[in-house]
Amino acid sequence: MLIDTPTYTFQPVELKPQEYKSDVKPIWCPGCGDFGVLSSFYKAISELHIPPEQLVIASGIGCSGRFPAFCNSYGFHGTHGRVLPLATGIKMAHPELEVVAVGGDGDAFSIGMGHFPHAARRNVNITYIVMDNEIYGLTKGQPSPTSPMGMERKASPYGSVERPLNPLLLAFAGGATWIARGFSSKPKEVTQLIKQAMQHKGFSFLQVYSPCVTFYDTYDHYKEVTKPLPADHNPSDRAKAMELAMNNETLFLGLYYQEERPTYDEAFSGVRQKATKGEYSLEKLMNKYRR
Amino acid sequence: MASTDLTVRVGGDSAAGGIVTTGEIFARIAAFSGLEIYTTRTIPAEIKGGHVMFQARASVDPVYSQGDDLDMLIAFDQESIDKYYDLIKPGGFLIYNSNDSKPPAALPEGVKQYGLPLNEIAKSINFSRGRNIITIGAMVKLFDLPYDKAEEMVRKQLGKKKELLEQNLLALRTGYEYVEKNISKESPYHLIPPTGGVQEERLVMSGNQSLSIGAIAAGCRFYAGYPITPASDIMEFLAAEFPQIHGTMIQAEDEIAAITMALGASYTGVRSMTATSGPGLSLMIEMLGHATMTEIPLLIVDVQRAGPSTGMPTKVSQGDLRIAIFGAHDDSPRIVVAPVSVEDCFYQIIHAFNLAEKYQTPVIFLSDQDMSVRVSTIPPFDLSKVKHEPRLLWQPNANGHKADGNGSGGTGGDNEYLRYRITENGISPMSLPGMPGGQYTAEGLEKMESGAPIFEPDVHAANFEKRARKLASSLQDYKAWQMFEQFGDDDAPVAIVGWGSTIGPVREAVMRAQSEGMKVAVLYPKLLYPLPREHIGEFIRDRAAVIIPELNFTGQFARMLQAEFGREFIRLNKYEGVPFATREIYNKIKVTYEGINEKV
Repeated sequence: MLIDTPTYTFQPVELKPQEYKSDVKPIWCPGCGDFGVLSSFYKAISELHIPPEQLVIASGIGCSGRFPAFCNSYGFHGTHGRVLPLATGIKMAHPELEVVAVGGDGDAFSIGMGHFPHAARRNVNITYIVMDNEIYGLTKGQPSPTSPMGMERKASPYGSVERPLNPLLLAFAGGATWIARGFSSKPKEVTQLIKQAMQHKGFSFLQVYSPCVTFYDTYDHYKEVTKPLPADHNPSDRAKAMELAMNNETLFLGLYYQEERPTYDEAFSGVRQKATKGEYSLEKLMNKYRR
Repeated sequence: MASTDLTVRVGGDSAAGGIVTTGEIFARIAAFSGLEIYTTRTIPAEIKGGHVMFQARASVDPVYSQGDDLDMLIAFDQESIDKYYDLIKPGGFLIYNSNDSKPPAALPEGVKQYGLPLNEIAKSINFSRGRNIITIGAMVKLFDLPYDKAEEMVRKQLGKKKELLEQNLLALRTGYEYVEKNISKESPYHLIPPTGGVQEERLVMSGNQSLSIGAIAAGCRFYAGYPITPASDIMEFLAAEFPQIHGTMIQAEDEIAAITMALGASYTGVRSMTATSGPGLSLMIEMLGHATMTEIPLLIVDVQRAGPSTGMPTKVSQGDLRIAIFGAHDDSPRIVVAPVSVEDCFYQIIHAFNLAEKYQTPVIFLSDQDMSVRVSTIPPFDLSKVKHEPRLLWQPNANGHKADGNGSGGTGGDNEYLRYRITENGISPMSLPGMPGGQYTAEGLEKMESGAPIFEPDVHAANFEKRARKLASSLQDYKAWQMFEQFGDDDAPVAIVGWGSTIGPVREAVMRAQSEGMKVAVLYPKLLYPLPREHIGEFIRDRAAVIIPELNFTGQFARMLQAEFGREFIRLNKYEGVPFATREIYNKIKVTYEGINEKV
């Protein structure tokens, strides 16, 4: 009478990056940073030998929200800002699935901000890639929570008066166990970071600068101000990693921080062991209420 | 006074603590002594302080309502005396704390009073917080309920702290003996116990417990929720049970996350639910529409409470019917199921899960505050009735993974799997993550059969029709699974059509009307959307008058039926945050009856 959920087992596959492409053509503007992230992603999952049926890509709303449809995997294009609870539900129902959450800065740090620290503190074993273009692209160019102060757009004709937030520090505050930053124009590095993020056991947060050519072209700016993290940086040094993340002049790229902590699904396994007392049946449950 | 049907109300200030516990323990003692019980309560939303009322009705025969008038009022404070003394019926009595409060100057005729010096008694055993349990002891003696049952119940309910338990048992004994010593057997304060007590098999539980067990029986293995009165104890119940059956219960960061997590889990094939109350349901509306659009099964329990806004979180209402059915942007159909009683919560939530799975749709389960916290004696669940309707899954054919699709409407690739295939009954076979070849994107945008986004007029129209078509089929299950209650006289000129927990007082009012020669027929559909139009239409067709009782201000169901059938209904609306009294329904039947006789 009690339903048991089947669990799947998967075998690694040999597929070329392009074999992970779906038939749906990306609708992004030519030159969009998201193209770079997408090709790095195909490459990463190819190198990780992930079977397409094991992979679930969840997204919210925004240009980057269209990401799942371009992959020959399972996908879930959810509502605006809710990608992390969505990915959490999928992962917790079937921890053997490989779950990747994707989205933009508006989705992550504005409408969906309330979910970010919780996914991090729970250490849900998923990878979260935020393609940060520092603007709302799909709605045609309003300032986002990562836009610089003074940005003049139709919704801020006299210059934005709001200070941008720091996504990396938010990830630290929430307790993410893997925190990194990339730049879409550095595809090799982004591929490596995506691979590491997916291999990390726990909540991996990857911020990727992914410029919007149409509404806020920052390619040149990032080429200037980004540089790799110091070669001697030790990712287990939390204080140092946070200090580096606070630097607004030089934007460091690479793995800031990594720690090992039981994942959310591992914690639940522990709870299940603790809770299980002999054979379970509906009759027994009902009989607790019998007079 | 002899009676086979007793109604007791306990009132006091929650700052003193234990009012509900007193009532609940008493109700359980009565239930475990062989009586049928039906309880109701209103508690303040505050943790400490504020007026609390608990009412228990105990009877030899099955009871369907909390009872209108009181046989006994136990008043722990002056407010409770002043508020309720005029509800005591002749022959009944008032028990109050004579150390703290004064009886009213004049009691209703035939009503007796008795002052228990509770503070003094408590002092005599050096246990000032023991007044509640002393009172229970006194009540047990007054009702001549078996003392051993009382002791057993106190141990069960208050046995966690050993030291305190000893004190509580002493308090129980002291209250019992006080009455034994001071109130003679012959005194009018003694109620002769209902004898020949039913010894039917019974479960003693609340609606939230019943529906939680139902959810487990239905195969639900994922729950995400956010604390909200009066739905939180569903979450707490499943938090204890799910880990034992490989289920997952997550206390989410808010209601939006809760429904989204449940949707994500269901997408992978696990039966999933969330539970909330009105304010939480408001937050879930966007994702509810998404579940309709992505065609993913999902169960949302709404334990209705009095609103709008924060309203009265601990009081009952049936005001969420409209948001349950119509709360959406654009036409976003979902199924709405309403159980009618504590017992029914178990069976209907199984139906609700089965409808969700079968039609790949969100289902809203409309319970209410009164039903959710009320402890009742109910027959044991018939577990042989538990059936699981499977989700229609995609079956890859012998060619391996490229199967099933007819190749049309997709974006390319012959024979690709079409998740949103337009079918005759609207249900499309669903693949689950992990199934090779079944990859697709669950899509909130309008889409082709493959799931790829498209904004073509004809595709949009075809999908609207598909989504509506598949839900219409659930009306066949309504019939097959008998998702309604129908009783009374077939040829009655006066009928009552209602939904939800109001059926209890309706049942008793109809019995009373029938005993006076009136003919009344009653129909309570438990599937409220899609509306079982045919059945309701046939039922009301030849009635001179149809009454629709509802615990909301505007008569939400009545207006819906009015729009559907283009006829007038008699609305009986109560919007005070408390359930109907049997008397109120009865009076409406009587007035209606007289009205139609005058016309003739």
